[in-house]
Amino acid sequence: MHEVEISFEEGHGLQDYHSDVDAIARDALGDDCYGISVNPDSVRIHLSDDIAGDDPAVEAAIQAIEQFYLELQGG
Amino acid sequence: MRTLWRFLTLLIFRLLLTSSWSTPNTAVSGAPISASDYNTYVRDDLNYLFSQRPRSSIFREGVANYTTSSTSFTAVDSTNLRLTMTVASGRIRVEATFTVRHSDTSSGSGSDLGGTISFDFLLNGTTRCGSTNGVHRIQQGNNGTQQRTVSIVGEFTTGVVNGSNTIDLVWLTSGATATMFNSGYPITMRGNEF
Repeated sequence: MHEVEISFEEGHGLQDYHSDVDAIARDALGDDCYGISVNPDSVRIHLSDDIAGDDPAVEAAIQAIEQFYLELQGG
Repeated sequence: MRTLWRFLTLLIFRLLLTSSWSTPNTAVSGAPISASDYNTYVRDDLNYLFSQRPRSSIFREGVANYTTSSTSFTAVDSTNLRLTMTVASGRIRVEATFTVRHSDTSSGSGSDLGGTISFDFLLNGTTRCGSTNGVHRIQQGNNGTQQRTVSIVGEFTTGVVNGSNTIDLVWLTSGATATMFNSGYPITMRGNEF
């Protein structure tokens, strides 16, 4: 397993939306997503060894999570 | 000149306060034990064993909690919850205490209801202390939002470098969401050479 990390400012509040962010990552990555971890200043996507960290699907997952966060901020 | 004097004073003070372990020499019949050997292998080693063995601790109370849905062991926070220890014995004992909760309170059957969370320690990014389910595993049960306070202990006797080592607190979940509370809830880690 390896992971990619998306940095956010501390206090982002995504812990309260863990299942939503998890679903976004799994939609983009399927079985290659082993789950996510939400830390005070980041979100980490846990990946299977079958997918590279720079795979387009990973990039799509990152963008979708960032978009979700922006929508939360705007909402 | 004044700066140099201050530097030398601090250096001497530090040398007096700390010493490292020296593997004792073997005495030879008829050969005197020199003052230097006595100071190095008896005085300094006894001081090391009594009060200077490496130890490290973290008491972290942050502004937000940690959550994970990872089904493989992953570090809770490799920046803020990582012990770094330089040891000489090749052995490290580590402890951690924290409060957790699992979001799943209903899956399973019989009395084994709810999601599980496993905990472990990871040495130098490669070696876990425990077995498949770590050093400890809890099941939430159908108790709603009840939190659990967990204390775990682990010992590393292999894989420890006689130099700098890192130890991460790691966890995994059976699914859904595991929460480790840190907003208003301290997470503590302690490590020591033994």
